[in-house]
Amino acid sequence: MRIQHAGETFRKEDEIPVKVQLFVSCLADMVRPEAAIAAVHVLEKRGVGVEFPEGQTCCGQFSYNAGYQHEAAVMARHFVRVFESGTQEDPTDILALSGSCAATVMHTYPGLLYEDALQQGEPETKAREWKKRAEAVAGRVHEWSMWLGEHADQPMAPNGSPLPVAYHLGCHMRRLLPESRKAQDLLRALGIDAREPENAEECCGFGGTYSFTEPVVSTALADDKLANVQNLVQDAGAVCLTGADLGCLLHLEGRLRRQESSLPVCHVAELVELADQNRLTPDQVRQLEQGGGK
Amino acid sequence: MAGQLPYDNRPWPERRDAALQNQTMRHTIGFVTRRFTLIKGEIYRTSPDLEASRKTAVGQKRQAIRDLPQLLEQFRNQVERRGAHTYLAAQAQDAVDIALNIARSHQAELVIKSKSMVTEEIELNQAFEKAGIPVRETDLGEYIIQLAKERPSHILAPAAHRNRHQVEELFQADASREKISPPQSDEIEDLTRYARSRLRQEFLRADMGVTGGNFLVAETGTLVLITNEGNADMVTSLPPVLVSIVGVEKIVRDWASLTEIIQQPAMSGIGRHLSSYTTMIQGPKSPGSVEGPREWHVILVDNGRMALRDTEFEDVLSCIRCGACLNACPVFREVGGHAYGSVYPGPIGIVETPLLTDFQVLPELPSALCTLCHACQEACPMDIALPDHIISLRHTIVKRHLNSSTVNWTLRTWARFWSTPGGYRRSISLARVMQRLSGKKRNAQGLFPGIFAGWGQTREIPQVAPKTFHEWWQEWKERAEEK
Amino acid sequence: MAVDEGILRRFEEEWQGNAGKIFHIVQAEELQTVLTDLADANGVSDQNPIVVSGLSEKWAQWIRTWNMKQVYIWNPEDEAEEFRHRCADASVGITGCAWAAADAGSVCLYSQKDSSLLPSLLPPVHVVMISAAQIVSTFREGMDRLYRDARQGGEWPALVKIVAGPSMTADIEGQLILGVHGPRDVYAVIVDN
Ligand code: SF4
Repeated sequence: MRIQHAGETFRKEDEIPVKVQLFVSCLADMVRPEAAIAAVHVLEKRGVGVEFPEGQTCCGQFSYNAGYQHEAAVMARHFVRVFESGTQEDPTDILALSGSCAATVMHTYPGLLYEDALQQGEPETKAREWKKRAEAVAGRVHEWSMWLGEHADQPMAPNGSPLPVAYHLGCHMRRLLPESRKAQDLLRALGIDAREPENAEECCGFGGTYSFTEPVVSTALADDKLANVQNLVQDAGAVCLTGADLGCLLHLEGRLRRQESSLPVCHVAELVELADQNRLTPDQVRQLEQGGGK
Repeated sequence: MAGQLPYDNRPWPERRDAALQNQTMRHTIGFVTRRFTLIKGEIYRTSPDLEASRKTAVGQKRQAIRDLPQLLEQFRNQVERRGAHTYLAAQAQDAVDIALNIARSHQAELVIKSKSMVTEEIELNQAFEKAGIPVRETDLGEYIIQLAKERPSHILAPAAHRNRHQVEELFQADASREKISPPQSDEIEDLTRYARSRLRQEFLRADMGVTGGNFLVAETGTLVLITNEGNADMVTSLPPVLVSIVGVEKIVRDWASLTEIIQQPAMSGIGRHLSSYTTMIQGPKSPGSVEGPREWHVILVDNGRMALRDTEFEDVLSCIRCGACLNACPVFREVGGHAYGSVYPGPIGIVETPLLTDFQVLPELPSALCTLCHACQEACPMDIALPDHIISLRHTIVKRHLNSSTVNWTLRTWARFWSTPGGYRRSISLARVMQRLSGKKRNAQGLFPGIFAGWGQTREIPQVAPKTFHEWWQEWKERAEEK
Repeated sequence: MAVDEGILRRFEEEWQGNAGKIFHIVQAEELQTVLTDLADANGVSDQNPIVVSGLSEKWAQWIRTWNMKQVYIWNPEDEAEEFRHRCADASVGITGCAWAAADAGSVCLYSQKDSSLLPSLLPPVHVVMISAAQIVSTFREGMDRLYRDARQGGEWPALVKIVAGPSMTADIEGQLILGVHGPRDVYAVIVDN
C-alpha cells in the first residue's frame, strides 16, 4: 500500500483495477445501507468504478451453517448466476462487505454446489460444472476492506493524533481469510487507531442463526465482548465500535442498546469515508449512528 | 454398531442456566482455558521442530486408524507374548463386565485409579460400587468430584468448577468419615497435602489398579500414560493387578510414530514439552523387581468407534484428548463442561457424543453449543475438521427431522424468499410492516416470525432502513444517468 | 568423553524451567556435601531414611564408603517388600537414569531387576544422578536410544518412566501446587567426569 497526498481523487492511473462488483450482503442492504453507500463513495473516490448487480440477495451462510444445505445451495446458485453474468470476458473482482460472507463463497460454495447437484439427482458432469462455476466466482471474491488496503492508494493520514476506535475482527475473517490484518493496516494508514479489545479472538456470540436459536449463550458471549470493548472506551478513549462484519456488529449493537448504552457502532466503510472527507472526529462518528437511509 | 454413553438427563436449558449461574465455575474455567490457550500457542511458536512433528503425527495417525484392525492384532500379540492378557470390548457394558470379572477373581477389596476418560464413558466406578468394590480416584481433581458425586467439568481439570472452600468442605466430611485429621485450612497447599496423605495410604493398600492410556504402540506392545501428578506411576507400580482400559483408537503403528506424537498432548494441553510423568508399560513385572503388576490386563474398548472408520468422520478417531479445543472454545469458556451433559464436552464432545451413540443421546449438542467460530479448528493439533463436522451433524439433524418445526419453517421459508430478487423484495416489505406494527416497543419479538423472535429477548431488533441499498442505488444510478 | 557445553546448558535451562533443581559435582566429596545438606534439610532419620537404587557401581561405591547409617541401597538379593516399605517412609530417594534429554529437560528411568523406580516416586524428594555424557540433545534422540537399548537387551523393561519436573497439579482453582503424589522437589546432580 502506498500513501499519497490528498487530492481530488486518490487514484493512481493504471494501478488500480478500474471496475469492481459489489456484494453488499443482506444485512447491509436492509438495515445498514449507509455502510454500503460509504463503500461505494470510497471506491469511487479512488477511481474505482462500482457495479452493483441488482439481482443479489444473500450468500446463504445462515442456512448452510444451520445445517440446511439444500436451502443454502438454492441461494448459492442464485449468487453464482448473479455474479457470473456479463463477466465472461472481463472478470472483475467481487468485493463483499462482510468477511464472513466472503469466506462462505470462497470456502463453501464449490463443495456445496457439487454435493447439492448430486443430491438433487443431477449427473456427475453437471455437478462438476456447478463446482467449476462456483470456483470461478469464489476466485474473484474479496472482503472489501482487505481489498482496499491492498489495491487502492490511500490519502495521507491527517496530521494530529489518530482517532482511537474499538475494532472487532470477526471470527471467519480472522480465521478463514488469509492476512485479515491487512484491513487494520488500511485503517491505520487513514488515521484510525483500530484497537482490538482484550480476548479479541473470542467469538462475540453472533454465529448467524445461533443468535436467534440460542439467545442466552449468544448474549453471555456478547456481554463478555462488550465488557472488553467498554474497557477500550474507558482506557483508550475509543469513540466507537467498528468492524467489517455487520452480523457481529448488529448483534453487539442490539445488546448495547438494550443496555441503554449509546456507544456508536459502525461499519469500517463509514469510517473510511469520514477519513476521506477529513471529517474524522468523535462528533461525526456519533452522527453516523443517527444516519438512517440518506 | 452404536456405542453407549452416559448422559445428564436434565434438558439443555436447565443445564445451561445452572452453568451460567455458577460464577465460581465460570471464573475458574475462564481463567484456566485462556491461560492454557495462550501458553499452547506460545510453545508451538517457539518449537518449530515439534510443529513439524505434529504434522507428521497427523498423517501417521490417520493411517493407523485406517489400519486399525491389523494394528490392534499386532499390539495384542506383543503384550500377550510378555504374559499380559488382552480383551476387545464391543460395548461399554462388555468392558465393565470384563473388568468386574478380573476384580472378582482376585477378590479385590480396594481399587485405585488414575484418570481416564474411557472409564467415565463406561461408568466403571458406578458398576464397581454397585458390586461392592470400592474404587478410589487418585487424580486430585477426579478425587474431588468423586467425593462430590459429580462428573468432570473439563477433561484436564475435572474439578475446575469448584473453589477451595467447596473443596475443603468435601475434605472435612471425608476426614470425619475416615476418622483422620482434616486439612489444616482451605489453603490450596493444605488441601493438596491432605489429599496426598489420604491417597498415599490407599495406593499402598490397594490390590488392583486401573488406568486408561494415551497411546498404544502396536510394534512394541507399549502402553503410554501421561500425567502431571504422578498418580499413574503409583497405579502402575504398586498394586499387584493392573487393568488398563483404553479406547481402540489410541493405537499408533510403531516406535517412530510414537516419537512424533508423544509430546503433542502436553504441548497442546498444558503448553509444556512434556508432562511431568510419561510412563510406559510393556508387560507384567519380571520376578524379583520391586515394582510393577504381577498381572496385567488390557481391555480395548470399541463402543461405537469402529463404526466411524470409512466415514467422513474418521479423523475424529485421531483425537489425543489434549483438551485444546475445549480451552479455545468460547462457548465452553462460558458454560464449562457440565452444560454439555456428556462425558465428552467441548467441540470434540459435540461431535463425538452424537456420533458414538448414533444420535441416541444429546442430539442438541451440535446446534446448541457452537457458534462456528472455528477456534477449535485452529487449536486442534490433530487437524480434526471440527467445525465442518458440526455443520455436517446439523445437516444430519435436519435430514432426520430432529429439529423443531419452528426452525424448519424459518429456514425453509427464508430460502424460498431469498433465492429470487422478487421474493427478497417482498420479504423486506413484510419486515417493514412488522416493524410498523410493533412500533418501537421493546420486546416486540412476538411479532417476528419463527426463530427471529429469539433475538429480541436480549437485544434490540435492528430496524429495516427507510431506504435499502437497493433502493438507494436505483435512485443514484438514475441521477447519474440524468447528468 | 568430551561433554558438549551447549547441550549441558540447555538441559539445565529446561530442567529448571520444569521446576527442577541442579547440582554440579566433579568429585565424590562434593556429592557427600550435597547429600548431607539434603538429608538435613529434609529431616532424614532412622524412620525416614534415604533410599537408593539404579546408580552406577562407582557412585554406589562412593555412597557406601561414607557409611551413612540412614541410607539404604537396593540390592536385588534383598526382599522387595521390605524395600518398598522403606521407600514409602523415606525422606529422600536417589536414582540414576538411562539418559536425559536437553530440549525437554527430562530424565528417563528403566525399571529393571537391579534398579527400582520407587525411590523416584514415593519420597517427597527425588535426586537423580546424571553423568554429563548421558545427556542427549533432543528428546527424539532419547526415544531412539530407548528403542535401541530395548532391542539390544532382548527384552523391554516392564516399566519405563520419563520425568520432566516434580509432581504437580493445578486442579484447584488452576493454581499450581508441587508434590501432590510424587516428589515435590527433584534435583539433578550432574557429574562431570
Ligand atoms: S479434538 Fe483435537 S483439540 Fe480437541 S481434544 Fe481432540 S486432539 Fe485435542
